[in-house]
This record gives sequence, structure tokens and C-alpha cells, in this order.
Amino acid sequence: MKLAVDGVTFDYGTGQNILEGMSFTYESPDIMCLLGCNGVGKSTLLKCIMGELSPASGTITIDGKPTRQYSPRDMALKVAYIAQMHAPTFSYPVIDVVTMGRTSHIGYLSNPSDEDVQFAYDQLVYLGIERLAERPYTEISGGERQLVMIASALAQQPEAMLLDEPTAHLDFGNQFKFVQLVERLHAKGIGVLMTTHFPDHALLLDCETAILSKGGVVAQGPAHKVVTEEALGQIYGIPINIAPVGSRKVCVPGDLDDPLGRIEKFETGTTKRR
Amino acid sequence: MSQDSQNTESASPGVASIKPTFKPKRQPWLIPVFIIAPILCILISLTLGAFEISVPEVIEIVWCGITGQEFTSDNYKNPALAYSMVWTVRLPRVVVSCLVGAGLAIAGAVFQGVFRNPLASPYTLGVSNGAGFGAAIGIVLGLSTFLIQGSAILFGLITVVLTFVVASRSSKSSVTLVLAGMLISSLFASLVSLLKFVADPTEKLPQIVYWLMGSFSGVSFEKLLMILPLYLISLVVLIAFRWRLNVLSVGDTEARSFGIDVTRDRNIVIVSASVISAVCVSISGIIGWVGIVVPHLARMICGPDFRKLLPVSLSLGACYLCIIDDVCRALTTAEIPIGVVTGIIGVPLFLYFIYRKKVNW
Repeated sequence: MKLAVDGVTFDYGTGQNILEGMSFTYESPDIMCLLGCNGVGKSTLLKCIMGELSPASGTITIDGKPTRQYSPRDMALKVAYIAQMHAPTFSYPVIDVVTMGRTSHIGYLSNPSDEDVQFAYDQLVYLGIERLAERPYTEISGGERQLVMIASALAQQPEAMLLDEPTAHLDFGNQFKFVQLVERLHAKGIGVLMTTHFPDHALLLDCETAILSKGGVVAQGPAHKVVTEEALGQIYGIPINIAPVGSRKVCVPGDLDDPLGRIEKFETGTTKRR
Repeated sequence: MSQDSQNTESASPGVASIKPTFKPKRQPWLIPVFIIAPILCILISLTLGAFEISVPEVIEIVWCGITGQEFTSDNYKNPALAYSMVWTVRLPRVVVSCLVGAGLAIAGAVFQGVFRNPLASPYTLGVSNGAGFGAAIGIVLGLSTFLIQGSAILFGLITVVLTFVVASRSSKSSVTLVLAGMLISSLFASLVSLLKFVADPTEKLPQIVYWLMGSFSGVSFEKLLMILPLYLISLVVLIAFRWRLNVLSVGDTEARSFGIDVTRDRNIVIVSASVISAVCVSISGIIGWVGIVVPHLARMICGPDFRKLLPVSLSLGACYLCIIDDVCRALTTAEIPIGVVTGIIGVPLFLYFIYRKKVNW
């Protein structure tokens, strides 16, 4: 699957553009991270790609065909989209939610067959969460819910997954495990295009990375080239240090000696150093 | 996230060893229980009344009617009277109360599902007030009971159309639709009040008030036939959409990602559920609570899965309204309006179930 976003502009009807001239390309089964500060329109961009919002101008094509010409069913066979936070209303068992991923593979008014349910179960097994199969979706933890949505997306058998800040609600350990999972999906032949607030994750995956700002895409390329102290400093508006730890590179935000500005205040005598 | 996610890595693809299979839990008692219950309710209801007819005789009379035989019995001086008592007086009423109960319950389950809101009911989009207005205008104009019913159906459907027109001017969200429904509903409620105000207070006004409270007292097979085609079509559509209803009830974004044309499919099921509600209201008047209580009870029994929820709601709704109508006609000779009784019985029943077993969302 080849996704091309070209000059996309979008506003919520307030006259203020959320997206302006956004352009990048993505090809599955690559992994790609979209970095950008709050409010730069990362989620809006994904919603435009999924057709949930219509851009004011610009084109979005998948395999050369504009996304708005895709039926929802054909779109589902190309990409699965997982939004930031899903607040479920009904207590469906997890296996039912995962089986819903099969909807685009079954007849319009048919029910999923036993094979579909088994296929859904296989995805839970693949993610190691088959013990959740009968549990109500409303009663599992946020991290488990995230994995269940990934299982539904896998049951959908798309060429790529669009993930909107998949690590936003995960604890420190689960965030890391999620990055490992992304690599596993990639190895399985499924592309992952995700927005993230963690430059570390892009560096860890060393994947294709696009840095977004108000005026469009600032830079696109492999993470080790694009994720630089200058580029990050510019979009987040704080000093960023990138340094090696072992064989890996990590990002540390803020001034290295005086990140919270305590020394200066102490010296000028306005505040006592705590 | 799970600790054992790494362990399964090596075992997953390629290896043709033991593949874990999924065995779903089934509730095999569901189908027989929910087929037999309404049949029992109907048979028992047919025996109730001043004229005593026992259950075996009721079965015999119904059987004779279906096969076209003449009913003969030594127990009665006039078997033909027993026969017509069952066939022309009791059966239409019992069948209609079951159908209305089933229809309202199914519509309620569908509305709660697509709006993902426990307070949604068959009347959310204003069908009840629309149909009420239709009936009231028919009464004021002095139309026949058939035309009053027809007018109720017509205005019930007009309300739905108006709601969609109002909502289509704005975004595609289901909240807009509910808001539009509330607006149109209030408009028709005011119009009904206006009609009540201008109606002749000795004759027409009581008739309007009584109609709005709901009753099965005047039903006949002819009235039933008038609603049956629309009723059955909508019912078939809703049952055909049972899996899509599941997906829709999870969330708009998720449903869209799973490959569903959310706006189109949601509109199809909402229109079907509204049509069913409109035809039910047209024959029975406004009967509240069935469409809210019964789907909740059904969900407690079988969970939110529409593949089970729709049949269970149908069966439960039929039994519930059939029994309540029995109470209405058997308790006093004056016959209490059913819309009043559903509330008086429905609310405590609902509270009881909330306390006994949490209403799950």
C-alpha cells in the first residue's frame, strides 16, 4: 500500500487552519512515526486520511486512488485505524470485539462464521492475550484494551495500521513493549503509521519519521537523520539533548545542568534553592 | 499489556502443532425458553375474562380456527359463542399486545445500541408525539378509527423524516440526530396541547387524552392487518442487520475502521426502528417504558450481542406487554389504560433488577 498526502489543508470551520500544506508519503510495510507538538494536527491528519474529516484542499491517495473514492469496506482492507482512546459503552466479550475486525471480510448481512471467530482468537493468541477472550471489554485495563484493538485490526488483515498515539495511555513498561510489538507487526508484513509524542520511540525503531509543524512537514527521513537536537528543539520549543546510552540513542529534554532553572534563581537571590 | 506476549512469538506461524481453538460459551436454553414463553403467555391470556374457557379448550378453538373445522364441545350451551369470544374478542387483543410489546422492545434495543445511550427509547426521535398529533388531529376532525390510526402512522413517519432533514443540515454525528429528534418531538407535543385546547371538551378531549394514555381495548384483526406489512418489513431489516448493529454499537470511529458505512447503515436501522415504533403507537397509543425496561432486562439475560439481544427482546417484550394487558383488563372492570400500568409496574421492576443485579453498560 502506498499512501500519498499532498498539500492537505484543513480547518474546523473557525477560519484557522489546523493543517496547512501537509505533504508526505508512506509505503507499507514500513514503520513510520509522525512527530509534532500538541495541536499541530496529527490526529486531524489521520482522520483526514481515514475520511472521517474532509480536507479543505489537497489530495490523499492510496495506491494512486483518492481515498474518498474508496468504499468503507475496501478502505478497511487497506488500512485499520485505531483512535486515541476508545470508551466502550457495552460489555461485549473481548472475542466479539476482535471478531468485529472480520466485518469487511464477510457478506453484507452475514454473521461471522466459526472460522472467523477462530481467526479472531488466533490474533489474541498471537498477542498473548487469549486469556481475555471471554472477559467483558469494558472491564479490562487500558493497556489490555489497546492490545484488543490491535487484535481487531489484525483480524481485519489490513496492509497497514494507522495508530493515533498508541502509547499515550500506557505505563512505562507497556510503552516499551508496544514499540517491540510494532517491530513484530512490521516483521509480519503489516505496515505501521503512527503519531507519537516520544522521539525515543522513533529512534528506537529507527524508522521513517516525519516532523510536523504548523506550516507542514519540516523534515522526513530515517529517524537517525531527522530526529536531531535542532529539529526537536524547534518544534517543542525547549532545549533537547540526544546522547548515546550503550548502543542506543536517547532524548533528554531541557538544559542538562539546570533543567528547572533553580541555579539562576538561587544566584539572583529571588528564590531559595529547594 | 501482557507479560507472556513474547512467549507466543515462536509458536505462532508456520508450526502445525497444537493450535489453540476457541470454544465459545453457549446458552442452549435461550432458544427454547424464549420461544415457549410467549406461546404460554398467549394461551393463558386467552383463558382470562368473564367468560370462562380452559387452556385445552382454547388450544382446540385456535386449532379449529386455523384448520377451518367447526368447534364442538359438550361443556358449553353455545360453543359458537366460546369460539367467537376467542377469535374475535380475545385473540386480536392478545396478539396485538404481543406484537406491540415485541416491536417497542426491539426498537428500544436498537436505539440504545446505535446511540450508545441507556436512555434512548423508541420515542427518542419524536415518533410518539408525532403519532399522538396524527391521532389527535384525526379525532378532532371526527375521522373513523381506521383513519385515526392511519393518520397516527403517517405523522409518526413524518416526524422521523423531519428529524432527519433537520439533522442533515448539520454534522453526521448521532448526537445531532437525537437533538433534532428532541426539537421535532417538542414541536409536536406543543401541537398536541394546542389541539387539546381547541378540542370539544365533552367528547373529543377525553378521546384524545385516552388515546395518548394507550389502550388495546379497540383492536381488531383489521387494524392489525393495517400495520402488519410495515411492521414485518422493519422487523426483517433489523434482524438482518444484527451483526452490523453490534459493530455500530461499539463506536462510530471503530465501526468505520472495520469497514462499515456508518452513516448509511445507521440511518437504515434508525428508520426501521422508527417505523416499527410508529406503527405500534398507531395501534396502541403511547405506551412508555416497554422500550426502555425490556431491552435492559434482555441485556442482563443474554448480554449486548444483538444476535441474541433482538430475539430475546422480542420474546420478552411480547410476554411483558401481554401480561400487563392481562392485568389491565382483569384487575378492574373499568379497564385501566395500559400506558399508565406499564409505568407503575415497569419502574419498580426495573429498580428491583438494578439492585439485584447491576444494569451493565
